[in-house]
Amino acid sequence: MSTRRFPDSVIDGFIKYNEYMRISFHKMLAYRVSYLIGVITYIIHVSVYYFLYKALYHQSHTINGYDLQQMVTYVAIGWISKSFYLNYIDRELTEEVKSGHVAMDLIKPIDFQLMCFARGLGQSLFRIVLFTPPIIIVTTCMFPISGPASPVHMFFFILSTFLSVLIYSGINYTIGLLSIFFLSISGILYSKNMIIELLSGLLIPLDWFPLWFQKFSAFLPFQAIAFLPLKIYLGRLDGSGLVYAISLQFLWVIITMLIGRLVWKICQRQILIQGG
Amino acid sequence: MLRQFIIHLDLGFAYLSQFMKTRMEYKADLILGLVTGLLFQLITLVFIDVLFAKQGLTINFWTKGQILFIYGFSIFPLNLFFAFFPNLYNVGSVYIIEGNFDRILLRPLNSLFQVLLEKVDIESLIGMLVGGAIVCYASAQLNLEWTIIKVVTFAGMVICGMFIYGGVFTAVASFSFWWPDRVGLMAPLFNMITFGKYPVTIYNRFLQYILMWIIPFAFVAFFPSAYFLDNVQFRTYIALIPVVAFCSMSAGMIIWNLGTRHYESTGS
Amino acid sequence: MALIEVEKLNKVYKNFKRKEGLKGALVNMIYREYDEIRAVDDISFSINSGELVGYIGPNGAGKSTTIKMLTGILIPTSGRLVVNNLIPYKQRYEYTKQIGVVFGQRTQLWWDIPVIESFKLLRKIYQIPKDHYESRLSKFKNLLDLKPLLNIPVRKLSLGQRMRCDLVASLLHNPDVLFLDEPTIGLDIIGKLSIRQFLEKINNELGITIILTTHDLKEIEALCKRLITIDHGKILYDGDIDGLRSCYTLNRSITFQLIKNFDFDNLEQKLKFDGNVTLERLDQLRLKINFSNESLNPAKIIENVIKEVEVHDIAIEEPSIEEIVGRIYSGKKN
Repeated sequence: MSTRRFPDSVIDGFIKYNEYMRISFHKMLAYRVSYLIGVITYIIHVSVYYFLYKALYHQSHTINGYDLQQMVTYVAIGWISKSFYLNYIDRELTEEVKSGHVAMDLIKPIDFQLMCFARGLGQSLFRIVLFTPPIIIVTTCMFPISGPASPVHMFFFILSTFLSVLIYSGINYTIGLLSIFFLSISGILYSKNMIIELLSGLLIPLDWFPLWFQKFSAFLPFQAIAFLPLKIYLGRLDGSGLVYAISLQFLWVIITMLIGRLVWKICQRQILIQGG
Repeated sequence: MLRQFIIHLDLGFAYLSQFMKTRMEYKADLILGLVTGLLFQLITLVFIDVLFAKQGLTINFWTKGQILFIYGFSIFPLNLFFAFFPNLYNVGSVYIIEGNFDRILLRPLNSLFQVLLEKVDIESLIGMLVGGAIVCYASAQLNLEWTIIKVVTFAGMVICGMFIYGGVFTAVASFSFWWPDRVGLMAPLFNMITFGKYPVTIYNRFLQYILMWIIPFAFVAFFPSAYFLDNVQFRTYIALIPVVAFCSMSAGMIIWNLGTRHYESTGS
Repeated sequence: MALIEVEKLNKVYKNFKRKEGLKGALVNMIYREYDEIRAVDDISFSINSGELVGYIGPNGAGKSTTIKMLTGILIPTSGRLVVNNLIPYKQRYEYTKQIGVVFGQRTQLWWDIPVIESFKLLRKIYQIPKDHYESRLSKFKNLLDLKPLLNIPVRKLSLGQRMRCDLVASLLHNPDVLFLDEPTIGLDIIGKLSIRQFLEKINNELGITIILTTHDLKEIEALCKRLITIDHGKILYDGDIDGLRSCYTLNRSITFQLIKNFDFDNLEQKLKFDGNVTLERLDQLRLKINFSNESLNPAKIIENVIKEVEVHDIAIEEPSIEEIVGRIYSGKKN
């Protein structure tokens, strides 16, 4: 585990880990078909929920404080930002554990968590350059989407989505590490994805849920991935609410990272005992 | 013909009993699979529940009870499909890219039959219990009457639904013979299953056309449910369910057979 | 009529050219170029029933492609291929019942289930009558000492054990032809030997025609009467091993162990041979004569040497088959 001072490791990290970013970037480019299919997949998701909400709103103008226009925007922007914050470091970690490569990572003079995060960022970078734009173009052409509430909200939305990447990576990293303890983890990863979809508010805004559930989910990191950024985009958070949301996200970045480090410590012991 | 059928059936059971034994060896995975399956069901259920949280809402005049019925029904064919066709997901990677299809071609048996038999996820069938519970709950809410004939029809339509999925995904898996790709077209099509969970009438014309005649997922759960919900509007489509199932599976098998001719075993 | 007939057989692969660098990766997304690779280039041969043929060549020479076409896994690009009056890829069902195939790199058995259960499944797949199955299994079981392995899942077997099981699996349905693609790759000497003996036995006693590819030329030398070599998709040699030896110019040598110390220069002057011959003094009592097999035969040399000095022992070194094949691959003939 790294004992370097923080600023050092950041500069170091940028130099070393951007190599990992570059490699992930290349890997994703290599599969042309997967790329196209990935874009289509997002369009499918937005379509399903667009038509569903449209049908739901056919009699009422507003439901739970959202009108149709806002709801469509919520869903579309939700999936567009997902196309950015999503990464597969959990799956990659699982494969590394299976093939025993993870033992090799132990002897390298790099911080394992930072390396995984760099990979995640590499994937996000790829997505923002090549993946997100076509999704934005197609969805805005197909569905009536509103712009951000104001330039200030747009700025904070971008900042907030960037923090989503870190929180998402933190969760993915921790869950991916669990594969050291299980023979097959695909079920866990699948469940995790579904839980995040629901509890992050991607499928349905969290303020549609019963009150007791809203209180409960306020203590979970998931709402910081989608619900908070989307509320900012729609202009439903202002002033102190905005500051509170961003600070909450920062807090979750730190907490998920610390949990990841703790789990890694436990895993290291396990790897040393089992030999990977 | 009959002899062939019996031989294949016998083989099917032989494979099944073998692989059940190996499944049992990995108990933790088995339990994990069950939990994942139930969670999958639960998430959509919560979603529908929250969607209708406000009293009196409908989805284009489809009530919560009706939507729940369609969803409950859709669990049956989907889980049957998960149970007996999971290996289609591995066709691109395990069989084509890694070259394991060699082994399949060396045996005097239909190649699709072999691939399907080499992996079954029987535990997926447990999910049908949840489906059953949802259907029962929705039936009670909607005061639906059940007769023996309806139960038999239900089972028949569920099996048709499985074959519609089976045919479509066999066709898609076959594309890997032409374009070997680990991920393939499976993922987006898999996501399209979600379309079939809701009434096809809520979509626009274009999507309706696709879901009925290109990727006929509307025939998997929605039209069958319309029958039980006594919706006379869709009578013609309901009658077409077995035809669509037959055509779908046949098309899948034809494309598969064309694909196998295109197989280029890796390595030289 | 021959059992296997191959005439002007071709297999052409299209290979996607991957461009390098970030720019290349971007270009690849839009436009792809393909290379044509002739894995098998216009080959012809025929094999009779009961033959044991070695098929050799360096990596990427087209060996596996040929075997895969012969077994019906790959469809030839062009050419005629008939085995036992069947066209492998067209009449696949009937054909697979008549052949056995073993790939050294990859097992045909099911990974997670015990060997005996795999055999039972194969019995059902091939519709083997129970009594035939039992008698064949018990025979092979003894020959290859399989008894302790039968109840172990394949994934827990060692490579050698797995190979023995794979061999038996490929023979249960009584095939006429057995194809083996590098059956002894990665095995130790004992493992290789037991498989070699087994193959010899089933070829002799059951009359099964065997075609095997291998990197181990000793194996070919020990087993095969006939040898086909292939490189860059073309057949370079087809015939028996002795024929191969006489076909190429090769260096041979004879070492004489003498009784008394000898005068090398004197001897060198006295022994005059036609052709390319060199003498070499190894130590006080040993003389080595190198020659090529074109014009001279060993008997002539020995005769001459014995006339001049007293000889205690003679050792003739044959050219190794490795050397011959190495020559073939490097493309030098004569």
